[in-house]
Amino acid sequence: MSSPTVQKGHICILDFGDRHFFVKAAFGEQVKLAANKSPRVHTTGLIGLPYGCVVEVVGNKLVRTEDDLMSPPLSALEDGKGEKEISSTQMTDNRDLVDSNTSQKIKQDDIQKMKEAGKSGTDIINELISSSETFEGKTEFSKAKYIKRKVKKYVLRARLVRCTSSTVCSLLFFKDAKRYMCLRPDSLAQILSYSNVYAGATVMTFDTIGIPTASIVERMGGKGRILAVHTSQDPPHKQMFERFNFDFRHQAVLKFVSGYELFQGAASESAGQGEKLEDVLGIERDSMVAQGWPVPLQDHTRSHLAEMESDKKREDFLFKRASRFIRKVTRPSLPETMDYLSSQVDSLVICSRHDPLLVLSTLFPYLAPSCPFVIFSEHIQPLASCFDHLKTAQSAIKLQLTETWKRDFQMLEGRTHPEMTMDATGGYILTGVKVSGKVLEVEKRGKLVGMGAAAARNSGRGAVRKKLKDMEEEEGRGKKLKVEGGGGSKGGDMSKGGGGEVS
Amino acid sequence: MLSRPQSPELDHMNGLASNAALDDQISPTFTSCSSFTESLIPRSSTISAGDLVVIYSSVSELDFVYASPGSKHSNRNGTFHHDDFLGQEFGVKVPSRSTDGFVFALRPTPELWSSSLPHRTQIVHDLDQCNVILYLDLKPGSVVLESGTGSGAMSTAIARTVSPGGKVWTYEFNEDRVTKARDEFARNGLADIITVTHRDVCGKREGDVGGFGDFVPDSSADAIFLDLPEPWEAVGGAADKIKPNGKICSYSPCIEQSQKFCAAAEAAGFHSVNTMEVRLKEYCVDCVLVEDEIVCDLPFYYGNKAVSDRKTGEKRKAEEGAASEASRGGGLGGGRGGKTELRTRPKQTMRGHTAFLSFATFKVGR
Repeated sequence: MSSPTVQKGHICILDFGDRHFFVKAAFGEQVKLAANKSPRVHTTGLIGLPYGCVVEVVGNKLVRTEDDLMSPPLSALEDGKGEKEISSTQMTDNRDLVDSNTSQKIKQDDIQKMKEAGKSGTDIINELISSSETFEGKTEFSKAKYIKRKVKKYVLRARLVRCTSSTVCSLLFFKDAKRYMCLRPDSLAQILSYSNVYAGATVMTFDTIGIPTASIVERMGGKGRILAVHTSQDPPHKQMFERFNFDFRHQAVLKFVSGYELFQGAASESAGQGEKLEDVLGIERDSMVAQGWPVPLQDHTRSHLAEMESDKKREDFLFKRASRFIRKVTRPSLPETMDYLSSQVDSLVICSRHDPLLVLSTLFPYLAPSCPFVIFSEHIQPLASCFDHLKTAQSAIKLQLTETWKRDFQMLEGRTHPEMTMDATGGYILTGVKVSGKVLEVEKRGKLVGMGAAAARNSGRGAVRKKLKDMEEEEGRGKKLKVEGGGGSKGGDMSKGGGGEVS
Repeated sequence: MLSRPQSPELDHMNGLASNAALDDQISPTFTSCSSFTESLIPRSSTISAGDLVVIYSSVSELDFVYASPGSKHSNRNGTFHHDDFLGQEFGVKVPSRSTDGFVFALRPTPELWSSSLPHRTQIVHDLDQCNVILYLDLKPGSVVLESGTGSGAMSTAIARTVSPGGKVWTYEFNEDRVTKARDEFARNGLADIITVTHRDVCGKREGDVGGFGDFVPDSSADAIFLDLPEPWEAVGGAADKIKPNGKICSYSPCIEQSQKFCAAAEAAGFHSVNTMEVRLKEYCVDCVLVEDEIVCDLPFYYGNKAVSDRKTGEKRKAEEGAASEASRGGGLGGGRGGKTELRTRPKQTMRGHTAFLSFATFKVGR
């Protein structure tokens, strides 16, 4: 997962600047990286390359190049024509431009012939430049722009990027935001931080897109436990977890919990047969300890491996064995599930297309008091319902319903400005901290009660009122009743906030 | 529900930490639980003496205390005795003994800490913090360099993510802040993860070498975070310490600073330089009464008499009855045949700017 080089079987990202691809570095894997007639490319060449390097498509192979994504044709240009450029910079602008589409002497067929002759993309671009009538007349900036466009077209050069929560989320958002609930990386960042995920925590997730759960696995570093509640028969998001290249240790924190136990009330039914299950659980646990799985290789397995014909077969065998273990470890049985659910979790993350309020009301009891929760949705209305529900029940504080606004910038000397397009939405987030609702009984000192009341009435009143106002205003809930005729602009829950509760 | 078995075998099933076959894959720090998770985020659900407790009065008013028997904490809500919440569950509502006010005693998180900590400098706000952590690709085990330390909010947030096995080397040129931050980290159980160094990484004064110091090996940092007035001065030193394909981030309020940083980063061997800005837009949820008919007042040309004529009798009574019913029910439901609906609107004010975040990735050599 954190190895600096691409390992066999790793899924990584090829970043072409305007296009991105997930590719699996493995023998026999092929990917199509460009449209139409381009050949399928073998990914074997990626194995062993350091993450962050630049690769170029040469024939049907991926080969590491020394250069930067864009630089080689640019530098080739500078070598030959550098001086001329500088001298002509002053005089060049668009006053003599005639947009007749005849300035390029090379035809499409010629380019195809050059390609077939095996000429590299850099050579083709240099040919195009030298046979363009208008190139010399361009300003320096538009020359660079011209070359950049041609590079994109003729040089298949990509940066090899490691799959991490930020890169995977960016890529998927870029590709198909709607499919992933418009979860933009900055929203993911908030989910991960506000839910207070850390190595060693117990987190409950209800996630129908997979990115948050996989990112939490990454943040856990193989320590702690994730109770991933799902509604399908089999654990979901297999493909998403594969993209993160988790090793055994990291993935072992995942425990898939079927929502059936929680939403269909099976949990309470089986709790009735507690004693029976206790026995079963005991036996199962004993057996696991006895078997000690996932087991180191046993002698008979080693000899079995030795009998195999090729290393390829041995690798396949060991890979399958590991997958089997991970399958076993991440799919707790019913007694184990009940055991996990018997203690409260440290944080709750909901990111689902199901009604968040339904999900929240079922999962909220499993969250320990004073622990944070995050609910993500691409729509604001369901989160408003959750907000209102929690506020009315007084079961959470520090409630915040937010949306983020993210803008990228072009940063160039003298030409800095925000990018011309931006994403209008990255989803909505509701965060808060659960409170137990338990109010302590404290002994009020006799005299002070009177004084306290007096203080509240006199000097303290301002403070209490201020606090009530704060609680209302800042938690975003000015409960306004718009009754016409000025009938009842009631202060809503003014009475809920403050003093009354002290016995 | 089944009771939770406390056997070590179960840990063996979950974390596999005790499996000898896997031990060599696991870094030595992995097996010993970091003090971070034990202290700043107490694993026990009850408050015991010495624990850091965040005292929540309202969204804008948070303080913190280290729980100790016999102590008192006063704020505008009243005076609160530690003895009242010691031994209680985190998240409990604590009434004041002297007034009608109350507070919540919360389990600290880096977010709660950054809104309750003593501000010595402007801090990196939550939204920027979490984006920096995500885009720097931090995870348990990462080694991070940070300058300057400031009030330590960012260091604390980074520490949560890189622990266990990770390390935060943080640098601050103001000696007073160094001492205070060091004490705070020690008190919060972060001393093993965060090391504070008194140093100007830009090396602005004469005789000042700058850089991140020899005690951090070259090419060892997974990520570097710069929150400096002149971040471009620190880029050279950062390039020495960063791993190939490591990430750097500069946090600057002014666009000129970011521009200079981006140019310097590119010159120092960083690529994929990009700058972004994130803002938080907060929403209010209003419970609005929606009328099901539009009732108009009689226009002037009917005269005053007509008004009183028409608005007499049963209709007026019905109206009054409905209005008083509405006020009894806290205004929810009822009313004049209307219904209540939840509506959202943005909060009137929002923070318009904090800083530009510039990210870059270091080149990989052959």
